[in-house]
Amino acid sequence: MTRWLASGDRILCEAAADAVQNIAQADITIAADPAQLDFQDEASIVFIARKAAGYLFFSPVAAASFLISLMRGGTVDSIKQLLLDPLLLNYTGSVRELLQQRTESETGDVLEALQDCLQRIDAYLAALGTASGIKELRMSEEQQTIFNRSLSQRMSKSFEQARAELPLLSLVKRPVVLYGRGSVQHVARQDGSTHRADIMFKTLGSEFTFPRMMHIDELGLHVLLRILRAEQRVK
Amino acid sequence: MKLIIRQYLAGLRERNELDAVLPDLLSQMGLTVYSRPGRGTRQDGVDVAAVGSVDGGPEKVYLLSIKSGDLTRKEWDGDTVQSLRPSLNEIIDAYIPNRIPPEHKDKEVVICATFGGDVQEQVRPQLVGFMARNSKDGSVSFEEWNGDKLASLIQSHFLREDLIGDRSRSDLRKTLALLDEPDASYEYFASLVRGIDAACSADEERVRGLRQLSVCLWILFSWSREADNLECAYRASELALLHGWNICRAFAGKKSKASEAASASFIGIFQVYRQIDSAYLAKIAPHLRQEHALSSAVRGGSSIDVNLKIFDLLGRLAIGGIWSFAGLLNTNEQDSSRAVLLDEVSAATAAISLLISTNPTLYAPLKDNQAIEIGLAACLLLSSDGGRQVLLSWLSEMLRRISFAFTTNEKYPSVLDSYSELLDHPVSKESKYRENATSAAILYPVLAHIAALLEDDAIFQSVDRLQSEVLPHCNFQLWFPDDVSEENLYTNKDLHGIALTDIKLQGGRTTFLEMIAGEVAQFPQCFALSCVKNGWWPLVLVACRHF
Repeated sequence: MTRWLASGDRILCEAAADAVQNIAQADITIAADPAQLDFQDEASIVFIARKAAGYLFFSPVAAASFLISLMRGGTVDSIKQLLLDPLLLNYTGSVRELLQQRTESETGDVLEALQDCLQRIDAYLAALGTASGIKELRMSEEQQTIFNRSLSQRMSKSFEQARAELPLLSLVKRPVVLYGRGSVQHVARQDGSTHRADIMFKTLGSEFTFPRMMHIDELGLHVLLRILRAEQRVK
Repeated sequence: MKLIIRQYLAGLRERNELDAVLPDLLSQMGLTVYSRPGRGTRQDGVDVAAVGSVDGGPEKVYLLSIKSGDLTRKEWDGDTVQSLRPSLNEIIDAYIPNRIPPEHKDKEVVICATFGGDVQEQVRPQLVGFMARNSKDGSVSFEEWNGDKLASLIQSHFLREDLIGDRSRSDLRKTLALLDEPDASYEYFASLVRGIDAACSADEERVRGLRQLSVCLWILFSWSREADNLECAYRASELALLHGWNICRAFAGKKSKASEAASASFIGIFQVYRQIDSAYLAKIAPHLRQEHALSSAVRGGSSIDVNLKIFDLLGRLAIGGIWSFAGLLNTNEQDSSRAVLLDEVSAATAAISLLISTNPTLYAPLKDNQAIEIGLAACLLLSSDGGRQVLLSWLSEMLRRISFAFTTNEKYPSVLDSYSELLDHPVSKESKYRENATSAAILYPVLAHIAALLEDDAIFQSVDRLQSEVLPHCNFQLWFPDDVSEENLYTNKDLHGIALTDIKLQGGRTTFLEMIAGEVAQFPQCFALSCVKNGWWPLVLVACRHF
């Protein structure tokens, strides 16, 4: 993966991003392979860090852990900026948690950088908190209703699309239960008798963290990600 | 209704807030106000003085000494200059012997102890004792005008059934009930304002209508402040101001008692509007320096919510500064208010610069008509060197992002207006959709105009390139007031103005500026608007922003 990101090649970098995203564990941490890196070549290290921040952006914990591993080679300041923006700024939950964990194991300049990042993000979040009560800036009830309706429609559409893409699901009968927290049914046996089968429902959920800038500066985030991904080494 | 008014009076925080409505009330009661309150000044204990007959009784001189809220022991005889007892003594010792106009010297004087709340029980004996001791049969008497009495007077003289229809009274009640749903609340207030405006056909009705607007706006402001939500009040104050001028303009250039009364009441509406603006900005200002704080406060589900709110906020900051700038233009070097107005303009310019730097959504306009907010901000930023630098970097980054949005088919500026359309925009990559969504624009000509005023070729050429390479189908245009704008600008009741269309930028910035100057000369109606002729020109900008 280190070599793929270092190449700057779009296909290889996207493959690296896919590999990380396809791992079931949501908050996987990864580290750069020192054997693939020349830590004396600071420009190269920063280049790889920018590729990691750009391509692994939607796996923020993986991206952040990769950047921290690069910092250990001595290139701290430039990578710290990337750790802050776009990673920590967008994922104040998961990335902040990772940084807090890492402050217990890192040392020297890296530890100092992580502590500085945490201080800055805490100050940023505290400032956000002070403005959160301004009622005048809140979206209107009508807009909220329209937004919720639109979101629900998009979710249903994507669910339908996912079902259509999985042929196995079409072989299974989909029973709809209108009321209750479980269901009971009489299942026929081969000998003609029936047995009573009851099934209690369980809740399944999934969680997706939305990058903060998708709300605050969507276009700006897209511009930044494009730059991080597309830029090439200056020869 | 009386309870609503009572609540409003109780919510007034400063003495001058009660001052604002009392002259209108006394005039509406049929009295002649001969002394109005100046800012922070009082004459020997008197805040407002009037003369006339109430309910057909003999003519009397009414001297009002005003306090806000309840009359407490401290307010009655405390250390402050504003305490009531020293004021009443001053009236007896100094005002009555020296300041009553000679033509009213022989009339009975009624000293009115006026406050928005109640007399607290522990103070009542002192107040009653003072009044009894200092009353003189036939020459000096005292009256207690507490919140309850004022509420009755306001109701009977402004909001009585035969003065304002049932529907309007109901609109006011619904406005106040729905303050936390500003859209709905505003709609009810707008209906009330339109109802008052429509009922004004004779001079007397116009004067009364202006006073009604003023008192209704005060009621709304007081309630909104208590609810800690000024959103409806802000929008309502813009509308009341515009309709206020629509009513008042009938008196423009005339000199009569009615025109003086109308003018005083319109200024009253303007002062509430500015006070609401200040209260609104006071909530916003502490967060301007904090990165993303105001954007985050929108708490919207999508970036559209943030974008719409922050651009609206930009317009509000700008228009506040423009009013101060307009005030500055009316002063001379010796004017004492000049320094305050200069500070206000600088503060507004600084606030706009901060808002841009801490809320990056302002680099990416989504709606074409956000050109109005950009234009308003530019009006202020152009007035200082620092502001011009901010404007240069703001516009160049904005154009970079607009080009990026078109290239990657992301949320590029469009003529779409409804929230649901904006949420889904762009729904398609097809050129047909894009051509529809960008069929016309005022945004780019406004950006080009600002670039030309800044004499910046790079920005002007960026807009020029957008036109020739990305938007050749788009009808670039600018709007000018026409013959019917005077009738419709302040109320938006019908279409008005002329669009100068098919603007091309390829001739360069000098040619573009010459073309605009030429067209301004072709539309003298702009300078013939009553608000422009009478020094209230920012009303044109308020109307552009509001409707």
